[in-house]
Amino acid sequence: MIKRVIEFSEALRTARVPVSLLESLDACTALMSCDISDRGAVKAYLASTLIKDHSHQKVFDNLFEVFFSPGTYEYGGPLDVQNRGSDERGESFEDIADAELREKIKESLLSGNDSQLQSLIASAVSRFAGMEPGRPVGGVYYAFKTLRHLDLDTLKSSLFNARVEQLESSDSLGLKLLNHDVDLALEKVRKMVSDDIRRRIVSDRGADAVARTMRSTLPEDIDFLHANAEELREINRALTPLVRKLASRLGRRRRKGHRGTLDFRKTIRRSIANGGVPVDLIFHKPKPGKPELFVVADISGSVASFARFTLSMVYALSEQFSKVRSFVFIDEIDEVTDIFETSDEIDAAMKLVSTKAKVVWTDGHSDYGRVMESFAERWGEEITHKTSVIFLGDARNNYHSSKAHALASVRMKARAVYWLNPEPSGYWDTGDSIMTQYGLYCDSVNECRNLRQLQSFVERLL
Amino acid sequence: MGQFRFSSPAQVGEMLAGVGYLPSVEISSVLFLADRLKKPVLVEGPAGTGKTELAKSAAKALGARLIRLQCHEGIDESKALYEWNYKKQLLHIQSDRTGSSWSEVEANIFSEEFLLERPLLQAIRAVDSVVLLIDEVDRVEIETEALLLEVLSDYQVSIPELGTIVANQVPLVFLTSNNTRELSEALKRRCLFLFLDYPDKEREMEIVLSKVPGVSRALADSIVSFVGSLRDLDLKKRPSISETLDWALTLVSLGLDEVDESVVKSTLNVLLKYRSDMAKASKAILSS
Repeated sequence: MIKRVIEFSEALRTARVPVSLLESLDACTALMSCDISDRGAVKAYLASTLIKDHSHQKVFDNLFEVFFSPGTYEYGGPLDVQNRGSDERGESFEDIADAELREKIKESLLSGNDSQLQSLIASAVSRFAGMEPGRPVGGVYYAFKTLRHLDLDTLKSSLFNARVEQLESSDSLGLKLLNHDVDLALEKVRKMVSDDIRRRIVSDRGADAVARTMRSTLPEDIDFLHANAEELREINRALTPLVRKLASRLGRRRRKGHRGTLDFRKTIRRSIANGGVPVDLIFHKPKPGKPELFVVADISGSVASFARFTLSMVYALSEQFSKVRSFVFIDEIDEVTDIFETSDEIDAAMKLVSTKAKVVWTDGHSDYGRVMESFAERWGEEITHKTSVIFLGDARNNYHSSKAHALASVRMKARAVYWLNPEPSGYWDTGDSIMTQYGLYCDSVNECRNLRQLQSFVERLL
Repeated sequence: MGQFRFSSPAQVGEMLAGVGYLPSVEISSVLFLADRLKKPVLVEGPAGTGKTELAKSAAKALGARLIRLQCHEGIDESKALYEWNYKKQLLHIQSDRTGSSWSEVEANIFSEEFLLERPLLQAIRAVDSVVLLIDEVDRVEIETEALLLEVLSDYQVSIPELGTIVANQVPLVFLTSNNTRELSEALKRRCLFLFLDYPDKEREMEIVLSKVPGVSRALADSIVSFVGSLRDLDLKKRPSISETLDWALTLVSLGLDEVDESVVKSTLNVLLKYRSDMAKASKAILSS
């Protein structure tokens, strides 16, 4: 058991969840001093001792399924016997027809009979997934095959119809709620299928091997450029608390700051209360300089999501700046400050930007050179020694000319010029990327592939 | 010492349910573990999911006294731990005209009589059973956190004039956090972590049924699924359990027994507190 916990902590660390020695010791002590026959309780014990941040929960859940799934690990408690019992009961579903299996799944979803559903799913997996021992295929492939055979769309509509009949009032709200319920039920089926498959893969290959191949990334570490829709949502969820923390930390830092000069007037006024003895010295509050920010973002397809996250972070922190102006471009540049300032939803704003802003000049392929020139020409006058300019983009210029002299003229006027590139630094200057040509005129060029890097950049900026 | 408050997670669950708090498996397991390992529980989660309520209910279930330290920015030793009663000390020195030596006076004025106990010291010195709640711990400065560390890891307090005071018993300690800033690693390491999320449908239904008198099962069901579907939207402030309960109470006192569009439209402001959220919800859920 101890060994298992140590291995588990090790796997968590590999996924960049910080687990200290003390914490894994705590986990061991917890399991030794408590009854561990109940899997739910074991999970709660491990989670409360090892995980100290909710954003790590998902990684923990995945790895927990791998390391402590019934069948791969013997608990030797009463519940485990029950579990195995239900697996055996599952055998009885082996010889029914496919259609009947689907029907039975529907029934147990309707009646809420989870243990029956579990064995039905297990039998569906052994029937449809076509798993071959030792074959190095990820669980996703098997899950896909199983779900395709289960035909969730049909299941959904039949579930829906069955429930509609029970419904008394049938206004549109009722139907919508029902739809939501049915979606939840299907989500449950999907989860059961993938859990079941994972269990089988683990017992075939061993927990360590599976943990190694499993992609378990914290939201902060997800690559902007390669994130799928689900991961983008995850980044989005992680963004809000992150920004809030950042804002409160920066605010605190500002408030504390260094003491200013003596406020003579207030000190004298206060001293009257003490008979003219200046007991409390009052100092001027320092006025921290708030930088002015120009954000210039490439919003062409390849880097659009990166621009979106960076802009939403900048706007969430806009209190920290005296002014934020934003510009977007593809092969033409346009100012979109108004759009962001008037809408409080970043997604709505992004949508408006893509319809309203004039960012396409000829072919809709990024042309940094043209944009640089145009930016320097149209807004160059407004850049002062207080302005920090941040460029967001991959500097892939589609083999146009770089016109780096325009950037140089911006650099002359501005307080600082930064470049955030969402590509790994190893890829810079390969193909049509001309990062170094622009980098010459930037105060720093930063690789910015995930939230972690973005956050550390913003912190340095202020 | 050596005795445990709980015998099993299931018993924790029953005790909490007995005082009207319906815990999930995680909650009762973590509480059970906190008792066994004598570690504080750090409770985190969105607002209104019953973080403070958990501590209160635990105290009630155990028949223990609840000592609460409400944290805020700028809280320090004198508000969290102890303070000397300066005024009384001054008066004492002034009234003492017998000409006793300084060392006598000093021994006199730094004694129990002049000590003002603040919540942390109270919890340490208590002889009866207590539950200590340190509310919104994320609001204190990082420097002040260090002060909590000594108390929470060794259950002792050092007062220079009196020496080290060790706890008679290890109290059950809850810390709540709204996660407005990252707590220090040291503090997190010493605590068990419990994340209170919005409850799943079954548990929330139970909560509604037990807390709202006169609510029918069917109504509770549609209330909970409606709130659940609201939480799936990308809102500024998702409705919490307390708002679900408020809404259920509203519907019951209005004498309504089902949730339909017109009801939702007229009472949505109980659930949602931002105009943009309400607009979004109306658009997504109510087809017009």
